[in-house]
Amino acid sequence: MASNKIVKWLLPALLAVAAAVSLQAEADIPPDSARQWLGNMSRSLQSLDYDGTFVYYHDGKLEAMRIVHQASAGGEKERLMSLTGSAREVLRDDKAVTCIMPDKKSVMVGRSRPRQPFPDVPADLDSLSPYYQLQDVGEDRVAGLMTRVIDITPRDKYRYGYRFWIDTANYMLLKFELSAVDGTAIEQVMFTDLRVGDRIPAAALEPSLTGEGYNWFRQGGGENPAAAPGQPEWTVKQTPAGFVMTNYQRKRLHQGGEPAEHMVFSDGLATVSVYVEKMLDNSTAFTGLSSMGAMNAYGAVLDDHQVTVVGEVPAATVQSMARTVGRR
Amino acid sequence: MGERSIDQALVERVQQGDKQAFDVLVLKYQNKIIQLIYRYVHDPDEARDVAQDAFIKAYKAIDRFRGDSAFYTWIYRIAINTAKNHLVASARRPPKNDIDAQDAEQYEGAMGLKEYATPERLLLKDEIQALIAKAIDELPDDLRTAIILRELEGLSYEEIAQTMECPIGTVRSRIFRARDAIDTRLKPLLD
Amino acid sequence: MKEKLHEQLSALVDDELEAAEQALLLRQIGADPLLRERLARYQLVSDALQNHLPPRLDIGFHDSVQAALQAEPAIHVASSRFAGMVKPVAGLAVAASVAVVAVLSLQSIRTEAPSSTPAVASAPVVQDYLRAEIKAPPAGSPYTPQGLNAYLVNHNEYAVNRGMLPYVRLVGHEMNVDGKQ
Repeated sequence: MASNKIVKWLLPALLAVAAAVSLQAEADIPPDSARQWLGNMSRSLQSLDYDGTFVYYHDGKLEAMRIVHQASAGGEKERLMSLTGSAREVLRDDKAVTCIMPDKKSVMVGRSRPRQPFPDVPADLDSLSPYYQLQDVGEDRVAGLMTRVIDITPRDKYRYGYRFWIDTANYMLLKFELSAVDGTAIEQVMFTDLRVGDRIPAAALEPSLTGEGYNWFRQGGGENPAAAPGQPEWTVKQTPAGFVMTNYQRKRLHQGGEPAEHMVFSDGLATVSVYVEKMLDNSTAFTGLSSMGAMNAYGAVLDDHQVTVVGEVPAATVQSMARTVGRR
Repeated sequence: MGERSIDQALVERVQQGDKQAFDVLVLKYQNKIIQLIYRYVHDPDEARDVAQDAFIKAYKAIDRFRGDSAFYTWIYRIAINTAKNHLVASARRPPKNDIDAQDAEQYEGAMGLKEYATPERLLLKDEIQALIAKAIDELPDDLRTAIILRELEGLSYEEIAQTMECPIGTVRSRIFRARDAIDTRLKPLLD
Repeated sequence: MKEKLHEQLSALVDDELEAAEQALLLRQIGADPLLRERLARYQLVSDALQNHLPPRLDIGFHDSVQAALQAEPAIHVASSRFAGMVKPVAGLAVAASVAVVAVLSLQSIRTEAPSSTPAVASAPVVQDYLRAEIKAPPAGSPYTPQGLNAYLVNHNEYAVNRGMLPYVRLVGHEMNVDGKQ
């Protein structure tokens, strides 16, 4: 079961080109099931050119951001930037992800990976059903546009619930809500202005900040992170139901740091990363819980190693996993 | 979050390689820009050359135009700098008072320029203005009101529709018919 | 038929053209010099009424600029291979919800004044810095905010595809890393 999922992870990368060619055919099929709606949405997000402004609601705060996305022969290029508060920006293409944080005067550069497709193949969804319920809940209007509303409801407290409002005309995600298992909304994203299909000028994908004078942090030391060197030395002894390891890598995450072990766990929809990194003599540990909206991270120190569990899952999940990390 | 400015649409087309789109931008702002440059460069031929330089500079730099200001504000700045540089290169001092780019939209212009234009050129400008004034005078009331509210009061179609208590489509049609009537008289003069 | 086109030219002068009309009209203007001349005349009338005319009029000025531009290379942006494959959808404008607009106060994200002279070299692109010397992190830093960000950014690349949603959190939050709860 676990090995099936690892292989499945490799397939999307190989099929990326084939998938691009079949986009047109897929998008023309009117979806008749929740899974098809989600699949079409995923493909639209990836293959359409769009430029929009949206609001992001979390922790009682409302922020505005702009996203620009371009799909071309050269691959995907996108840019996300904050319109409220300090001008944080993320740029992403097929090679790298660059995060510019002016308030911390830092730039973080990491390697980007092909996007994981949304689980929309029946086999995937069958394996989801013990943990989530997928439902087409009908139609709704978002800012005057007709959308189809698709719900993914978690069956226990270790996962989140999702609600997607998908434009019936082009399958773009117009509104998104993430909630706890009891239905309380944790995050909401809603477009207030969206242009789809118009050409994106090069300038719209250029960063507005140069990062000059900032501290630059670059992930990786040149090793190819795709190598999976045998078994990890560390393991998570107890994971919540359905979470299995889908990926394992060794990579350097911090300049001057030791290569860390990175285990990816997934229940098919949510992913949790467990990083175990040997601490440097002069480093300060991160322990306890840290939250960023729906994203939670839990840190612990074990045997001179910094253990960090992070994922788009409730705090209970990262916490419970962090507490059962140990040597194999 | 309403309609996108036509300038924005044009700039994007230029950035995608559409030179014709730039022609429309020049066409839109040629009079304003040449008039602006006259404040610095008083010879008509020279002013024209400087204006051409400014537009070419703008074209070359257009991939760097980010749209955080209006296109006109941007070209306005370029025109002033081009004019100043031209004066420096010809060893003439630019005037002390620089027009703030932010006032660009409100600047009336044309003050104090009469002395620099030759009589027969001035006649052409005056002649055109006289022709237009006469044509407007002879327009039917509703067309005249519409074009005056638009050009002299600076109202939007929406505002004119409210003032004249008619649909926006009617406003648009009236302004067009006013312009068309004026154009019929103007065209022979310019051919 | 021509009348309708001319009416659109008039609307263009006032920047009151409907979004849906823009593309077609611009194409037609590009193809027809007579339309361009008419547009220039309409613009002239507008400029005359607003007192924006220079002492000497040169209505054909734009033609000589265009002629000079023929020598310039076209601005080149990589064209989309997908343009033919995915049906282009007409630009949609999504009206803002009134409640949302009332709460928002958008600030400019520009931290530098835009360049006023095009002759100045353009600001170096972020990617250029990848080749520059990268500063070693200050001592004791791997588990500072920058350190945790490394995990977050890395992890986001493994999330199931929901576009840039994972990064929205990074952009939208001041991460409180001190959490010793």
